[in-house]
Amino acid sequence: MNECDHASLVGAYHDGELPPASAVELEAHIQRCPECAAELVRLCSLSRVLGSASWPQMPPEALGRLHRKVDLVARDGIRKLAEALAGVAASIVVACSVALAVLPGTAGPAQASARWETVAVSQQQAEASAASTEEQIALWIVQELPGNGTHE
Amino acid sequence: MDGNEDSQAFNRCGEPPVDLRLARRARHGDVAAFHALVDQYASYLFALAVSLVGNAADAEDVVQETLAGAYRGLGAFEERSSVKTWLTRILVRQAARHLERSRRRGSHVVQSDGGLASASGRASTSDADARIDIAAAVGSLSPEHRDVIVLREFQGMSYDEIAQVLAIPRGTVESRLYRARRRLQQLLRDYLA
Repeated sequence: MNECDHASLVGAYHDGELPPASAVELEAHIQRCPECAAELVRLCSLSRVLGSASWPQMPPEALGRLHRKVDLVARDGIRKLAEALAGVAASIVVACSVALAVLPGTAGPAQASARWETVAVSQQQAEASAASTEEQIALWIVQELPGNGTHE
Repeated sequence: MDGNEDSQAFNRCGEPPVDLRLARRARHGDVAAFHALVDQYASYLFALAVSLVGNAADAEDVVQETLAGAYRGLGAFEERSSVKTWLTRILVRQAARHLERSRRRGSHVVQSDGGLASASGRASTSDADARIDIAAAVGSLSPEHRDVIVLREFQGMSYDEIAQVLAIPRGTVESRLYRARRRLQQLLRDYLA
């Protein structure tokens, strides 16, 4: 076990990950430190052993299966997009139908109501004015009766 | 390892790497472009998957899940890393999920040689023993240690690339490598003499 203070730097040096100035400094240290020198030898040896095993290539039939999987995923994505668009279109149709049912363009109940009220009020006003005319006529008759002194 | 190092750099005309162009086209619905990416990275991803999960059958599943996830997640690829790093990150996570599911089911199988091939192409007894021991040693590491060892020793990634793939600080990469190598030196001491 490397107890040297520089032990943790030997790995980075081995991997070429030290900045140039630090690498030069550590190289000089390794020349003087048997523990760090032995650590470097062990790291090189370990990398060699691990690197002696190569990794298998993907078999052609597996590559074919991979391409088919990609096609399935792509088709699945298009299908889901189509379903989503159909849902949006259906929502728009429903919204338009509801809007058409409540918008004016037919005589709405509110307008009919207002017109009825206007007619009713005007009729009442007509009746009221008719009543006052009759009163007036009655007044004239009374006023024209003999003894009232208003008529000769 | 995958011979794609040249594809990682912008060329002298400032054009993006081939794999990045393919990814952009795939993002806009060009499935053929994604198939070209598959051809470019399938072997690399397969080898990485074997080193992480220990057998070829599971490795193929992991690679399928990786590329399916990559296709669905193309819209989220922000090009902050290379395509290779992005795919590697997805694969490492898929491999971890795969191993976790297998452990819960009690069904994880490590191929007798860990899926390793002989570098010489010939299966001598000593070569076979070495591959078995190497695979067993790497497989016995904790997931965190195994990931950094595989990415550094088998894939030759830099510390910064490993940090990006695993989403950990560079200092953590260094410390995990230090401890993982200590452990492997003990397990493989017969081969290090």
